[in-house]
Amino acid sequence: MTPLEMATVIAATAVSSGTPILLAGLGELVAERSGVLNLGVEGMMLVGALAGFATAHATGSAAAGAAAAAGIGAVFALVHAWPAVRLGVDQVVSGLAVVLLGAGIASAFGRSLVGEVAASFAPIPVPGLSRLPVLGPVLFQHDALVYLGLLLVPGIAWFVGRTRPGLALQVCGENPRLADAAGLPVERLRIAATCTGGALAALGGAWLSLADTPSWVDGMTAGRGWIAVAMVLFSGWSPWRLALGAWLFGGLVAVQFRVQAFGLHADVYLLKMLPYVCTLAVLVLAARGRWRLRLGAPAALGRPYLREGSA
Amino acid sequence: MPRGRPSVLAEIGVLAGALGLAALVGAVVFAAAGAPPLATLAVLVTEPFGSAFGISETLLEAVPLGFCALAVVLALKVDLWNIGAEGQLYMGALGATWAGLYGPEWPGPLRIPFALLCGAAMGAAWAFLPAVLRAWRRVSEILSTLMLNYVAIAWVELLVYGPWKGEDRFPYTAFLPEDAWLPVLFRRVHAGILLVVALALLLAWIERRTVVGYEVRVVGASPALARYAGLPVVRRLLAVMALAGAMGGLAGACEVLGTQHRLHAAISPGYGYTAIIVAFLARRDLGASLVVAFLFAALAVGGDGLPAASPALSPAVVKVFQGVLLLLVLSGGVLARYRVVLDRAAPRPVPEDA
Repeated sequence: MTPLEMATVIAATAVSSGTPILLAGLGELVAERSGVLNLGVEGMMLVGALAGFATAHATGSAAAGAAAAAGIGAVFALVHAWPAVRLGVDQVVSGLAVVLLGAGIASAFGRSLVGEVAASFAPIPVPGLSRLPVLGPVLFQHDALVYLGLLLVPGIAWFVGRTRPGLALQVCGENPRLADAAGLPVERLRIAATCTGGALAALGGAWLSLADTPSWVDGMTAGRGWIAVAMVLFSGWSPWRLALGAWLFGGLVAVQFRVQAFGLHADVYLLKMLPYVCTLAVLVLAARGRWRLRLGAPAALGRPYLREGSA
Repeated sequence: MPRGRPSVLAEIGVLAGALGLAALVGAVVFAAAGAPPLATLAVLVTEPFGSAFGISETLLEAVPLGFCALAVVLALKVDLWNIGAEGQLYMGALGATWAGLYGPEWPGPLRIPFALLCGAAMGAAWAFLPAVLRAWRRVSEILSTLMLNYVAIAWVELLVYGPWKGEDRFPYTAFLPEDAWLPVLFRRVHAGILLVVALALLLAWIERRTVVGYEVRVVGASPALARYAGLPVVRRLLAVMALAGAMGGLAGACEVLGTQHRLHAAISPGYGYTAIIVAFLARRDLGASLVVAFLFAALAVGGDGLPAASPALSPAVVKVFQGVLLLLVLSGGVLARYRVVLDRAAPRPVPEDA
């Protein structure tokens, strides 16, 4: 294998392995832009992974599985959105509750599906483009959910930065009192953003159970939800940088699985630490340019807005 | 209308209501999974308390959970979220195992304290790093402590699959020599339970009755005020976080020295994560967190009994129960801060967005 072929294989795997983090991260980005911090991504991904797999198992259609995952993920996000937005509870604690709840529900209802087989997503090469050298295999020989992630990066960047509803969302995250005074339905926008985040996180989870390793394994997200939360911070709330972070993580996974295949010698457990150590390093580096990032952080992130004010 | 402080009665009411509702949700989940709901709920009570075996298992699980809860509560005293008790537990287990297997071969009375100390030191180091990053670079301790959990587990895996692997083919270390085991009190309950209770009382005393404790409370309540008063804010913050890590480390050390007697990669079923809920439900109080830890240990023992009661259920179902309980107490806590005002004369205003 030439070095170029090797790099191509790793880059292609990086793009696909980064997909769950990209999808979940984009969802979290939308929620955080509206001012809601949702640490429950890991739980929502697990629920999505199970809902997708169970639906695909029952209907025989992977697309139906993904659709069900997105719907159930959006509804499940209400568990965080309602107390966080309507009651103004501590968003850190309520996010943790969502992680527990998601993990528990998925584990409880997934018990009978362990070891089962269901319909899964297969790669669909894009006609023409997939034959390009290097770029073809890296970007255009993936499954539908990977393409969805790729399309959502410019999509969400455009939506949040250039459309009226997107700007309304940003105002809610920066200055909810101003948004309220301007007649925007702050609570409803925040709940909608959080539910969108839930749907995307669930899709990220569904990619794992429907495309990556088509099966249901308890706890199969293995901390990716938390990495997605970290990546949003790293990205400074920009979808483009988020994609970069997600692919970086995917690249680490890719290298980890191919070390032996390429005849490189490295301890597999040291490699297992790598993504987490790298995320830590990224957090430290992201803190360095903290003025730039402070400008990016929604000013009212994690702060409830209740009309009564003093509560 | 808002109240100044939530009334004690309202808080107890919220807790009771939350427990009842959580039980109801649990029953629905049981029914949905195809198990008889009431009989299954009863298992959650009879399993941990119905026999001497159940009680001893509950006490046994309360030790690591109690230590981890102290690790979370201590960090909350300086307003930091320690999500990393799980990793601190693993590093503590690693430290204690090293002392037991490869440390100096001192006689028993010295060996056990040394092993406990090694565990505590490893845990403290594991919490110190996030504390430094937080103080120095404002890196979110929620994320850094969490990332380090995965790193700690990978370290333990590396050792038990590699250089520390025991004689048999399984990923376990050899058993520790018996003079490094914690003394047994009854059945499998070991001296760790005394240690955790004693430490909780000591820490609560330090918090309430000493100058250092008072300073820490000021730092936690208002860092700006503490800095203005000339308190060494960063030093107190680092010290408290290291102490919190030491508690997590002791959880792991006691698991190795008292319960498992050797190290393996699945030494904790997530005590460090459960401890976060325990700390919250205990209202960030050191003493109360031990009581809640005991109740949660009982819940876990009950959960272990579920598959025997109904094959469709997994022990993880109790996580649903815990999550619901946490959410309800969280939401109920907000409601408890309001006073219900009956105003029959005026028609209730219709909310705009209903």
